[in-house]
Amino acid sequence: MIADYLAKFERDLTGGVLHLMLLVEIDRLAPIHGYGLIKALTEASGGRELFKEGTIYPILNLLERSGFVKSRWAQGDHGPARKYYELTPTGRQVLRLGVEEWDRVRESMDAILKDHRRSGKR
Amino acid sequence: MSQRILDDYLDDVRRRLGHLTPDERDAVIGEMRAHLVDKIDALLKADPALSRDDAALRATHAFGTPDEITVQYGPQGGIVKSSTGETLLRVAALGGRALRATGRGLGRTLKWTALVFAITISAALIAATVVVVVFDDEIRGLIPHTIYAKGEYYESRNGTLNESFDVPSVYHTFQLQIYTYGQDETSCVGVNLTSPDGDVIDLSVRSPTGGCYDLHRELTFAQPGRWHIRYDFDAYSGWIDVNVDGYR
Repeated sequence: MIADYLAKFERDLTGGVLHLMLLVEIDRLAPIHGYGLIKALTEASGGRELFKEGTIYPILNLLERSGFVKSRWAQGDHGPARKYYELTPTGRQVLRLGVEEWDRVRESMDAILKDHRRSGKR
Repeated sequence: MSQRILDDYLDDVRRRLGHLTPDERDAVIGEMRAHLVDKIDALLKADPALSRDDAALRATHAFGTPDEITVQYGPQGGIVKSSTGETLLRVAALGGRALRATGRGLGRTLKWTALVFAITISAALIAATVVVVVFDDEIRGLIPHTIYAKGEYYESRNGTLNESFDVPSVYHTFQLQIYTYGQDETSCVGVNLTSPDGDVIDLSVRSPTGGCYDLHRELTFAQPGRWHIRYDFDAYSGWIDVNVDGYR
């Protein structure tokens, strides 16, 4: 049960910030395709597998339907055509507000953990 | 052969996206195929000794099971589950709109906004009350009821373990979630599910090195009666977590 809980915790935590991670990387690397995003996120996390690679596609689909990203198909140097993403003006606004929200959550969590560590109950 | 592995995997994904239009399905599958082709090329470049089949298996494993991927495409082609991130983005967007509205003229806007807000909230509360009263049975039907649960750690376990659970006919569907954590290149726990009609569903995913990949499956069934789960252990050390929830 502990493993189950921890696995769910990790999934929720990663899944919760994955939307924001994708917006950040699309903003930085646009136009960028799904595989390129996975590579960038894996490199940023030191090669650690944070999530199953396929899970980003339903999220990209949602971001596109919400009007936060737009896409176009283009042929690369080799292989099949790829779908390239970039942020819309609304997406950039959401990214800015999302980052502010993340900073707020992170600062709150840091403060809570600081108090917890100071209490010596680790 | 590697092409066959890829085609089989994507066919499985395609079958589970039946609620999308053919064009939407083609777009989703096309995007996934491009990803998997790139991944296979990258794996082969990183390890030239790897066979193309092994690279295809590793690429599809890293991508996730068809269940894991497709469960997030909702019946309308959107996302079913509202994650924290999605909520965060929506809150952020709403926050942005509110800030913009404030900047345009606080006084007059605030008065009308407050009035509209009060009317909307009142109407919503009345509607919600009516919905709860009228659809009481349906709402209760959305609440899952635990039929079977298992959460155990095994140490170097061998042999077979048979368990079963009864699904009362009062449930129109039930969901089985199974997770295993701890399998490596040689150890394995095979999981077989047998329906009341005797249909056997093998949930194990064998790795090229003779072990098994960890399981993470969510399956939905509608057949009441006695279901059996058989666990075949092969030097397995790790967790097995299973939850079966019924829906009325």
